[in-house]
Order: sequence, then C-alpha cells, then structure tokens
Amino acid sequence: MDISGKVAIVGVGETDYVRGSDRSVTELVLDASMQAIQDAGLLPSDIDGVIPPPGYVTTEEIAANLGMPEVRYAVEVRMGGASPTAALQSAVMALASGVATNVLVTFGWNGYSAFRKRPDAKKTKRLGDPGPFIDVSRNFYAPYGVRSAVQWYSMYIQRYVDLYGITAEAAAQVALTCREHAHLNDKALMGGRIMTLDDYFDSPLITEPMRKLDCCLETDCAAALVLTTTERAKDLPHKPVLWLGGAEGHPYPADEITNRPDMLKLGLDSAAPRAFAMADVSPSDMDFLQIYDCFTYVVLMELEAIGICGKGEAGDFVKDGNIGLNGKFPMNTHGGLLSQGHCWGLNHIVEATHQLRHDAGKAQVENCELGLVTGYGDLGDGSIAVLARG
Amino acid sequence: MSDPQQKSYKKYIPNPEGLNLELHLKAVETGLLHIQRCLSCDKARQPPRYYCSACFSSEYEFVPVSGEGFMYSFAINHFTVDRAWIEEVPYVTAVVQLVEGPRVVGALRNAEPQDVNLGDPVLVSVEPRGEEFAFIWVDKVQ
Repeated sequence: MDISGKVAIVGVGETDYVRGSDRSVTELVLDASMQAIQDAGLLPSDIDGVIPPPGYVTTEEIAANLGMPEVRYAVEVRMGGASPTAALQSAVMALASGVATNVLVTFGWNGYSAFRKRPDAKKTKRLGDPGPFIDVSRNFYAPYGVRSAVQWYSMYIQRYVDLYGITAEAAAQVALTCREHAHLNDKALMGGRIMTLDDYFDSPLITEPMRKLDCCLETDCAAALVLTTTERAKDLPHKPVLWLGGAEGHPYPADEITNRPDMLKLGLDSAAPRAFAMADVSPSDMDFLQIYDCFTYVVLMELEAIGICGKGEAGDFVKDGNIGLNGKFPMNTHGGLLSQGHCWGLNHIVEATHQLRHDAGKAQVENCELGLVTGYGDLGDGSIAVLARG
Repeated sequence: MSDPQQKSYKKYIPNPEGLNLELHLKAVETGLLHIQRCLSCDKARQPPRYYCSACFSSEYEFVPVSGEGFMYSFAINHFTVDRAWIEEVPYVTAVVQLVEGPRVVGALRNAEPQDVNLGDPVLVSVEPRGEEFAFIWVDKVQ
C-alpha cells in the first residue's frame, strides 16, 4: 500500500509555553486537543483514534473528558522526544488503512513545574514512565553519577566533537539562531530575551562540551494535531498539510549507548533515507527544517544524519548562515526547544503546519511548499516526517 | 568542600537482577572485571544479553578480562543532579574500549579532565560495593 500523501494534518493546537503552570497535565492536554479539533473544523466525537503522551495522560482520560465515544485506535509511542514525529507514522497507517478516520496526536507535560516543588502550586501529575532503557541506565550509568540526558548524550557527543573538530562556535550558532527565531514568535518563552555570543560563552559548562545555553528549555505546555485522510481533508477549513513520507529509526542496541558498533550512528541515520525515498524527494528540496533541538550538538548530528550536509560538516554548515530565516534552510522558525519551549517536538510539527499553511506570521518562509520535522529521544531514537503544502 | 551542615549522600548502588546480577556476582566474588561471552561463537558482549546477536545462541559464560583498553569516549561532568557526586565535579565518566571487544562505562580517578583524550590507554578494575554490585574504576596508564 502506498501511503505517501494519503494523510494530512488538518488541525493544530498549542498552549502557551510557560514556567510554572497552574494547570495539570490533563488540563493542558485537553486545552491543546480541543484547539486542534476546533481548528480542524471537527467535533471531539469525530475523533476515533488517539495517540497520547506515554505515561502522562491516557487515551481513556482524554476521550472521557472531551467526549469521544467511538475510539477504535489507541496506541502510545515510547521513543522519548522522537515520539510525536514517530506518532505521525502510526496515525498515517491507521488512517490510510481505514482503521480510523480522524486521529488526535497530543503531547503535554509540566516539564518545568513537575521537577520543582512550589508550595503554592496545584498538585501536578506524575512525571511519566521511566523510559524503555531504565534497566541499563540504572545498572551501568547511574552508579557513576550519570543520570541525566545531557550526561548520556555527552558520551557520544564528546567523541563526535573530537573526531570531527566541531567547535563551540558552531553549537552557539544553533542556539543563537533559535533565539533569533523566538523573537518572531508570540508563543515563544524566550521571545524578546536577547542572547549574544558572549552570553553563550558566559553560560556555565554542564557536561562538556555542553554549556547551559546548549540545553533546551524546561516548560509546562501541551500541543496537539488532528490528522485525517487527504480525501476527507478537502471538506475541512484549512489548506491540508500532506504527510509525504516518514520513518522511525532505533540505534542498535537502543537501550545502551556505548556498545553500539558506531556510537555516532543515530536512529535518524537509518530513518531519514527511508523517509526521503517514500516521499520521493531529496534533503536539498526542503524549504525549511524543524530539527529536534534538545541540545545544540544533537542538532548538528541530526543535520548530518538527514543528509543536509556530510559527516562532520554540520559545524561549518551552520556557521555559514544556512539555518537563519533568510538562509538556504531556515531552521526551527518557531524558536525550537531551545527558545520556544519543550513540547517533545510536537511544537515543531505545529510550526511546520503553520509554515505550509502560510500562516506562520513574522517567521513565514515565503512560498514554502516542502519541509521536514525530526524527532530525537531516549538514547538516540530518531523519527522524521516530510510534509508538503496540499 | 565539606559543610558540616550538609547531609551526606551515599553513592547509588543498584540492585541488579537476572543476567546483570550474574555479571556482578562474578566480579564481587573474584574482584576481577568480567564480561559475558558466547559459548557457541566466543563473541564477547556487554551489557549481558540472553541471546548472542552474532549467532543467536543462548549459551554463555562470564569470563574475567584483562581490564586493558583505551578511552573510546568520555563525559566531563561539571554539574550533576546526583547529590552524592556534587563534591566530585568536575568528574570524568570514561567509556573504555576493552581489548577483548566490548566497551564499559566507569569512573576515571587518576587524571584531571584536561588531561583526558580519545585513545588514551587505560586500565579498568572493579571494587565490590555490597554483596551484589562491583563498581568500575578506570585508571589512565601513565
């Protein structure tokens, strides 16, 4: 079955990106979901497929609270930050096969508040599930004081920068570009807060080579999408955004970083060629890139994994101005996880949809027709979607 | 810096199960670093797995290894969420390529962060902590 172009994103919604929300995860997710359903011109009762954030909110809760009596497809995708973009693939399969007619993909969390006790705050939801690699990380990383994402990823990023001579100036360019774009976005947490190269180098080292400003934000937020068949999308209010191709990839072994034959091969390295083949386009055809930016150096590795530039070339590529709004490949036009907020990359898909509808405001990439979104999560899982203006 | 007011935090000791427990018990009993080896094709692997990814055999043994290797990668930690490690920053977590094939993660203890480079020769050893866990130390070979 050829599924390329058969399914479209027809509705998007997102909350504000804040630190210190007074709303529970459930409330955030319901808000974003209702916005997306209304944006699609549908009613909650039209939704019969749901892909919720793993571990935070269940399909059962969403369906019961919004009023979805006919759910026939409910799955969770457990790939950390790669989940939302990988969820598109699952939604497409359900829709193209006729298993479901309208699918809601949503993510939300109190990514700031749940980690910080505030006596005045409402009780917040559980943090989520511990991740599919918990057994390895408990036994082989945690005993050595390695307990957080920035530390896990440094185990390969250090090798990456040393082998290819990647400089901090290159990583800074990713952070600065995302910040520049955040200034164009009313929904970006860091909009209006200027970041300079000096600010970058003044920020403290966390785990080398990463500084604080190489790390994404922690925010409370939710976002949601509604997808349906391209055929059905013709009757809906917005210009549909077509899913031309997509894929997920898992490094091997996915649950342990250090014993991969090539530690620098991410899930995205295997996923990207499959996605481009399905979409029948090449990386250079893209009008914009929304790259999962949990850490600046991960962005550099992803740019190489998707083939926008060769191995070890991403540092020079970003320093040459290619990723700015007026560059060859405008990147993270909403500010990304680094400067808009951290919604596990579902905010990247929302932004890609706005771009391809041509309603992205001040950050609009003129006349864009094609763009891509990547996801990255857990210990290097990857996902990608190639999207087109319908 | 020690602050008398500060609570002291113990370093985390996992409670391994299954194959991980078998691996650690061997190291605790002998005081030697062990890795798992396939009894059918001899391929060494880490962390322990139930089947060999090369020949799919489920027969295995745990064997002592030399501990000789080199720095394949590393992380220099200037910040930690683990309170038991706060006084140690900046500390270096080593990813060691063992001469026997697999890689292990351990704590580097005899070199400053600025003196660590990919490819540096190292020696890996274990220190039993409790009955069921052996901590991995990494020393740079001077």
